[in-house]
Amino acid sequence: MKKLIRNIILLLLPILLYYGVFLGFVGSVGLPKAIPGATPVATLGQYRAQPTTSVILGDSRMAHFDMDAVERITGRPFTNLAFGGASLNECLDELEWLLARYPQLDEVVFGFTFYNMNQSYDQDRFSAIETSLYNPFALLTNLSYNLELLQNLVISLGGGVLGGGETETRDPASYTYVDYTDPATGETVALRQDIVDYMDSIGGYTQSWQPDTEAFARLLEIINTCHARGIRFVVVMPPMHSAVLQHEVRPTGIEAQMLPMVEDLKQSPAEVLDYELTNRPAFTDDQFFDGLHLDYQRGLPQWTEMLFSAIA
Amino acid sequence: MLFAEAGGILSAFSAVTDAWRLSLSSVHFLLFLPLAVGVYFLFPARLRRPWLLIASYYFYFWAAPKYLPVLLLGTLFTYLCGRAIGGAKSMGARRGWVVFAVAGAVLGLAFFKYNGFFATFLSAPLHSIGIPYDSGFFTTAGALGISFYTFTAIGYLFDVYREDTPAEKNLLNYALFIGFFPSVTMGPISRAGGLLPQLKDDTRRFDAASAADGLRRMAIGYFKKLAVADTLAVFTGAIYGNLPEYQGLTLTLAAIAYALQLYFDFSGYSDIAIGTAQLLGIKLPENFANPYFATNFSLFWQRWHISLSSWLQDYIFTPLVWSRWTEKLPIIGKHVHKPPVLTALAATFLISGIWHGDTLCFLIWGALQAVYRIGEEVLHRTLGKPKKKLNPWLRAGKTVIVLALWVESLVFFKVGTDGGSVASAASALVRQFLPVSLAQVGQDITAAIANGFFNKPFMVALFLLFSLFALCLALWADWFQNYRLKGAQLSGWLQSLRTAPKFLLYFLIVLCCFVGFLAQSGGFEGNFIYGNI
Repeated sequence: MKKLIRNIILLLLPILLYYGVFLGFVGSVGLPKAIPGATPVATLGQYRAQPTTSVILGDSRMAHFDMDAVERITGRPFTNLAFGGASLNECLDELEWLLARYPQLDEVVFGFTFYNMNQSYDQDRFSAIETSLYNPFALLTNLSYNLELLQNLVISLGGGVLGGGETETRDPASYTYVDYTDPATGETVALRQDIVDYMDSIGGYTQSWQPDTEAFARLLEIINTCHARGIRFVVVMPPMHSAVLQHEVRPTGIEAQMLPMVEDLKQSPAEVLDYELTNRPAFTDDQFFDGLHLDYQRGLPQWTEMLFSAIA
Repeated sequence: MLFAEAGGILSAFSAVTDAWRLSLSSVHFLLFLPLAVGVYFLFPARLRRPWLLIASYYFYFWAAPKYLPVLLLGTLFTYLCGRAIGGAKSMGARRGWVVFAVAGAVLGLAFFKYNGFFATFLSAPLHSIGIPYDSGFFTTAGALGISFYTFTAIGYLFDVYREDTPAEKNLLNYALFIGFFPSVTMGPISRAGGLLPQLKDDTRRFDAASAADGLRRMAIGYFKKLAVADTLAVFTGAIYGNLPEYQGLTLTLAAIAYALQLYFDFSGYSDIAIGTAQLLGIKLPENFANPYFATNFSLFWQRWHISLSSWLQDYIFTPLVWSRWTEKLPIIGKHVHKPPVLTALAATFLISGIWHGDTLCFLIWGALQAVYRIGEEVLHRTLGKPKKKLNPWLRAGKTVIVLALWVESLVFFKVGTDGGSVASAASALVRQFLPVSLAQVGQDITAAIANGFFNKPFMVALFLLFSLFALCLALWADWFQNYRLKGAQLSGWLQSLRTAPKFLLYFLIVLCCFVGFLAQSGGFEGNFIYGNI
């Protein structure tokens, strides 16, 4: 019997060691702390511990506000439950989860963009996220978290700073400009190399873009549900670099298909703050980190002030 | 407001039970098993069976919470019927009770397994009288394991009727026989004569050698399930999820991959179940014996899902052959006296098809098995039985033909499992013969893995390497077991190795299981294929 137990432990030793490193290098005693802060499991876990009446939902373009600044501007605490890569259906799943459990919820700031309105962008991970909330082993065995933590391990062993990926900022002195020829008009303009690269990376995505009408109908339905329950619903369309609008979103017909939906949203009980298509702020080139995301130092603070002053 | 709160509580409860769902391959099981086995052997003899029953019901509750009452009712009903059959004074009364009992069990099975099928034509009339038939309980997936434990119970009822086994008087023993946790969800389908006496024996002592063998068996099962079947599932899931987009060799490879996935999934499950029972000192019947090396369908069905095949043979096929039912038919009965073996064979395979699922696809799959088996029987009658010792080339040729026919029939099985139509399955079969370039096949495979696993080329390459390595290892092990070990268990061979190679193999198996486990994020979203049967 003793020999059997000894052999089992010996065989499982590599796995136990792996998890030892997994948790140990982060220097935490509790499992949730080993998970990078901006992941949905961590933020939902924090929300369960300290629920607020106001929440922010959406994808990466809504995920990185300075929450102290948000509280200072609005005078009330918000919890930011937006996460990178969230599809529209995942945001709606998350909101339904909140509505079913937190009757005190009275304000929802909801990120809505052309990017997560794409029919083929049908990520459906919320049930896995929910499972991880209730079972820590789901976290320990989750592939994405394991890869992310291994990546962090490699960064920290190489002397890098963890969380570096979350401070998206670029020094304007590092910009290189290239001549970009618009494939539709043939017009040539000077553009930052990284913006051109970004447009290339989303080119296939915008070419095949189709509106997700089912998810949009679901959004309208949930807006009505919130209205019936007395919950304020603010739809926010985050800003994008003008080059992306001119050379990708407009020529592919996405803008033309999005505008009627924006009108539908304006007709609904929701408040609509559109910085993406119809009410674009005059952000300069260096205020953008890439084609869709504002620079954390030069763009995001200004937009945070602008957006939450409007919401306050 | 009250309803909203109750709904919220139910939703939270359901989220917790979903997150801690128990199956033989879940993390929860790895926590549950040492406790169940440890306490069983620590307890005094009189408490062991109650403990095992509590553990079994705990297992079933966390596997399928809302269907535990169905298991309890089914157990009570068949227990009482078994007592009635055993206590009946006359043959007529025995027959009456067995007909009633089996009809009741089959009705229960039909209701909970085929409710989706019934809902298609019953929902409208029932709605009109205010019964919401198409909502909630009724239209969710069938009660977990009901096909397996109902067949176990029906086998018991027939055995009591035939006086092959006495009616079990103790409800606890009987409940344990039906709900025994290693086999309640997916078999192997046990016989009362085999399992009940073992369950009743409380004097067993913990046998470290047997437990170690059980653990080896479980490790092999986990390897088949996590490292092989679940990685193949990424590819087959992506292809069968978008069947109209593919053609040619891609579809053929997907069909072959599914046949391998099904085999390693179910035989892996069976290894885990048998190994788990072995930890408790209990021997469950074998379920697989390298079926993909069978040279004809008769042998195939003696090696594939053995506990079901032998059940069908004992309780359907043999009674059909020997009941001389044809003699009771008007007009025909005067002329047909000889037992209609081929008709019985066809009926048995059709029942097997219906048992596997509630759509036409499964019926066609069953019919194809009947055609294969009957065709082979006719060939044997015409050309004579094949020699026992075949030359290697002929043997390989026959094995490939059997395998090819089986693989193609599984297209109906897979499409049926996914809820698809016969037209969709037939189209997938035909489109295998359309031309496609090898480059396109390569693109289809990598895109399927990128969609189903991880959308980064490096991860796709790693996944391909790992899954091919695991598959080759599993196929080699199957070949080795069939030809070198002559069907003996691999766990015994592993034990016979010297320490160094033995532990090297152990580490390899554990590593592959762990990688497979992580690759599917701990299996929190998936399960065994036969769990849906």
